[in-house]
Amino acid sequence: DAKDLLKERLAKVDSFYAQFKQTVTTADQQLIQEGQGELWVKRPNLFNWQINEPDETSIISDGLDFWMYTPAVEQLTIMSFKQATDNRLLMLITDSNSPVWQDYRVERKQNQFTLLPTDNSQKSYMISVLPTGMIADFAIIEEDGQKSVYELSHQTLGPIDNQRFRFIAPPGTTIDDQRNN
Amino acid sequence: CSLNQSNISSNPILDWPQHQQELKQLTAFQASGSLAYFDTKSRYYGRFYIKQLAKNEYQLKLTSPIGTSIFSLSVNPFEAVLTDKNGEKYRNKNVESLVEDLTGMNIPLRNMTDWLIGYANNNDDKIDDSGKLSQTQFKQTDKIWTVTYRKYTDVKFHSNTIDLPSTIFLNSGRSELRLSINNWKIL
Repeated sequence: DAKDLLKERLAKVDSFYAQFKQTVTTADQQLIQEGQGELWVKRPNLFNWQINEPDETSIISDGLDFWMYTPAVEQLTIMSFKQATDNRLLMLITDSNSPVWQDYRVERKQNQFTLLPTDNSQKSYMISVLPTGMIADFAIIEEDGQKSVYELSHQTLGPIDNQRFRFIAPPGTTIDDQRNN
Repeated sequence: CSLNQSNISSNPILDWPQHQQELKQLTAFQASGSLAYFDTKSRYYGRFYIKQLAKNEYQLKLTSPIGTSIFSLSVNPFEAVLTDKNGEKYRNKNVESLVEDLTGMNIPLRNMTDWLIGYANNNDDKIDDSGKLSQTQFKQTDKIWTVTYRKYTDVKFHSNTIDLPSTIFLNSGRSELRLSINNWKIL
């Protein structure tokens, strides 16, 4: 079914890099945010989501924990994988047998897959994946219709050093460790 | 190329009243950027979008860096309604306590319609050398907020342009708010 096909396509690419343009619009199509950045992904469960514009934010998963660094406030927030609900889409993208898949049913239109939460409290997602496994875009859709869309470009496949998925906080960073509390 | 009137004006004290007059006409606008908040207990970062239709009538949306909603606020002179990220709605006449109760952030929203665009009218306001506000203060219940304007940018306004703030620091002694505005649009 659509879910298996999506998982199958995602599994074709072991690791990739891409640049992205982000736009956030409200249900009535008002553009409220724009951003740009880069993304490194390595299966399973490794990703480095670097937002550069309008200012820097780094979101890194080393497969165990989840590091969100915001230089503007010199703060590093650490969460366990389970706690990081805002970033479930990347967890789905990077791990076909993640338990998170059970919380979603998947509908398909050509290369566009929609992931709808089975307990409708969660966000829904959309992701376009070509038969080759390459991701063209993905979006986070909220219940009120607010949509954060990521258009990917300059996708390049190929090995990525695990160093890319580690984070060392610069001196003076405030650590907000939210794991297991 | 057109002769651009240089930013350093001949007599800043004369230009400030003229800039004040222009700012008074500016009531409907959109602005977006990022917001960083510090107080003794917590630090906070989010992206904001504001759409003001008239004085004290605006919508303010706060999103996380990845674009998910944190809260959205709609305010009119009579009431403020805050919708949190799960869609729950909360109402209060006092917008500042509404936001503080829910997010822990004390943001001087009641004066925002002035400080966001760099308007003030006190005799101890500090004016920079190009006739724009560089620092002002205002009282919020038991606190004094100091607002410092670090950077301005010029924005299309009717057939001309107007200088509006792009970096604002607000400090109440107990908390600090830093706004960087990278997108202005006058409606």
